[in-house]
Amino acid sequence: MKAVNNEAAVRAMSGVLDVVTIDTGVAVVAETFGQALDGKEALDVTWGPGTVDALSDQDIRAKLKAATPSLDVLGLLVKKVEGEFDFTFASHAPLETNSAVADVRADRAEVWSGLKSPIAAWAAIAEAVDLPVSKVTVHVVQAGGSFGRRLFHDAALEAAVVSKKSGRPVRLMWSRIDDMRHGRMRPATHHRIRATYAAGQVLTFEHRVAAVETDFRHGLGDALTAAAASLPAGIGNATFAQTLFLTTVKSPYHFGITTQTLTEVSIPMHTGSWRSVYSANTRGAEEIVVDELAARLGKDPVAFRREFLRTARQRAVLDKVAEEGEWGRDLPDGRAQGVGFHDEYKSCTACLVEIDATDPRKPRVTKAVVAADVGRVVNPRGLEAQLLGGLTDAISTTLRAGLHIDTGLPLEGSHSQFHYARQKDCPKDVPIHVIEGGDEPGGAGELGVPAAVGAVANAYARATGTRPRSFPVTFDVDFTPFPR
Amino acid sequence: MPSHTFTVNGETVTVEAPDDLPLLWALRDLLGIHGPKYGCGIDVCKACTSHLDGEAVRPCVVSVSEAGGRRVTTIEGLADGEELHPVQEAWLEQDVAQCGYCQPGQIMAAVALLKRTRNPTDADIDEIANVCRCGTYFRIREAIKSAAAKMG
Repeated sequence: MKAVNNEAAVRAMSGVLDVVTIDTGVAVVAETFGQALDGKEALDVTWGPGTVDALSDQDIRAKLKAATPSLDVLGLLVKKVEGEFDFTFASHAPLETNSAVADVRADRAEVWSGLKSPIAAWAAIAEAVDLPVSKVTVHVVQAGGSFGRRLFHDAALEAAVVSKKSGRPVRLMWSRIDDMRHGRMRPATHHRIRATYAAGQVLTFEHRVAAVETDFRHGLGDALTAAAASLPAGIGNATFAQTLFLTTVKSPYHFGITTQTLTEVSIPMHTGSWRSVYSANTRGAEEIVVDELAARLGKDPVAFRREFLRTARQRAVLDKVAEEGEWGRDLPDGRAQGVGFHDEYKSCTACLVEIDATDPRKPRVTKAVVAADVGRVVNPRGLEAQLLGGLTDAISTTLRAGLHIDTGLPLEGSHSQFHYARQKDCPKDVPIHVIEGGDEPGGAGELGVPAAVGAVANAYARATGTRPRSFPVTFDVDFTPFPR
Repeated sequence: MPSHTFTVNGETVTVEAPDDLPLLWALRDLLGIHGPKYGCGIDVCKACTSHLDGEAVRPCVVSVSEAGGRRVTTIEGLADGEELHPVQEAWLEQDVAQCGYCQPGQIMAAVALLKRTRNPTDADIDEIANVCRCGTYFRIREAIKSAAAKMG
């Protein structure tokens, strides 16, 4: 930020109490948010350069493709199925925009915000307002679902600094357009997958993922890991990324020699973990290749998965959706079923969907059947709710929801442009079956996304006779972007 | 500063505000009624859905002057005293809310739908365009159908 060119004029606007410049922007303090938003709209600011002003989607996609390592197995002499996949950036798009309340005085500070890493936030706020941690009280309040966004505490930090500079308590809120364009997003990824087979057996399964670097500098909830993740590039954050990728991404199938690797491309953008982190795209793409492998081997997608899954527990979950979802039932042209499977967090889940892609540009998932074994179930309705949310995320990001990066910024600026699913995009029937497993409870909050990504993509492929490779499948700029 | 008098949830209120202040901010910041939520400010996320003379509106695009002399109902005014509205009961029964941020708007949209049609079809329910970022849509659908059945 270089200068506010019309500060006096904005200060003279109705209800405006203060205009405060901070490191990350300009805050307008007013009696009501309506007046503050008007003041913000009226600001004439000369901004300095952004971090990626020269980059647009095609540049980022080319960088990712170039960074994707080649596959080890020679592709010439063996029978193989292969594919390259792209997933766009996706906004967290929390319905509650970035927000916090702060009351900073000369000798103490009090902050209220929805925080997922409150200890790291506490230390950062104390430092920003130049008070000892013992004089700073941070209240963690219930937040609108943010799906990873509030791992970052930038709103709390901004509110504290604005309160200090303005000398009054403030409720700080970002506008929707700022939240979507300057918030966080799931990094775009590129995937190169090759499976080789002979005599009905899968011999190798290789997956090379290239992703724009995910920012983990919020740490793991404590101040120590936040500090460690903030070490210089290539040491701190990259180590976190590799650890997370390797501990969360695995194949549930006996596919011979299986390798999955992550290559991060360091592009200074506001990224962040998004529900399911690496698994949504990584395992989603693999589930598509699993369907294509089955087809090549002349096998039914459910029967093929059943044959290669590792455990009886996994097969029971898959069997459940096949049975309850009447796998293989006749559907008219343009409609099809698709299936996906995922195992993570000591839990496993299968998803079967039916899609109506009679108009391939306007596909709708009409029914979804989900089954999960998460070990001991603590809250059955809560578990079903998590699987339902994961399904909706998968429907959205597979079919329509993504961000177009145009010379450094997303074009999307509101919910009319970032096409997260609405009621009209969602299935009218979603039976969810919980299979009671062992004693130990597994995870479920992020579990539902990858299997559903696979199921939706596979259903779309079967309904349209295409091989989708770029997600979301419908991704036009079907709106007039707001001015920058 | 102009003053505007209208009823909110059965009570007559007067606020001093510029004519063009969106009703949302008169409700939230001047009257302390926080059920209607900000999510976009341009009538696309629908999180602030409330009723004006019984019709669903988005207070983020209704000016406070337009509300003058009229009847505003927010989620806070939906219950009859201690007795919840049947749609609220259905929401509890189906355990719809996850984070809850969009749910006041979803409920107000559902109540307005059920006022227009007592027995909504799936296509009618599809017309509710309120965003739920937690993705609770199927439970919203079930709750609307359950409420419709009970309200006869």
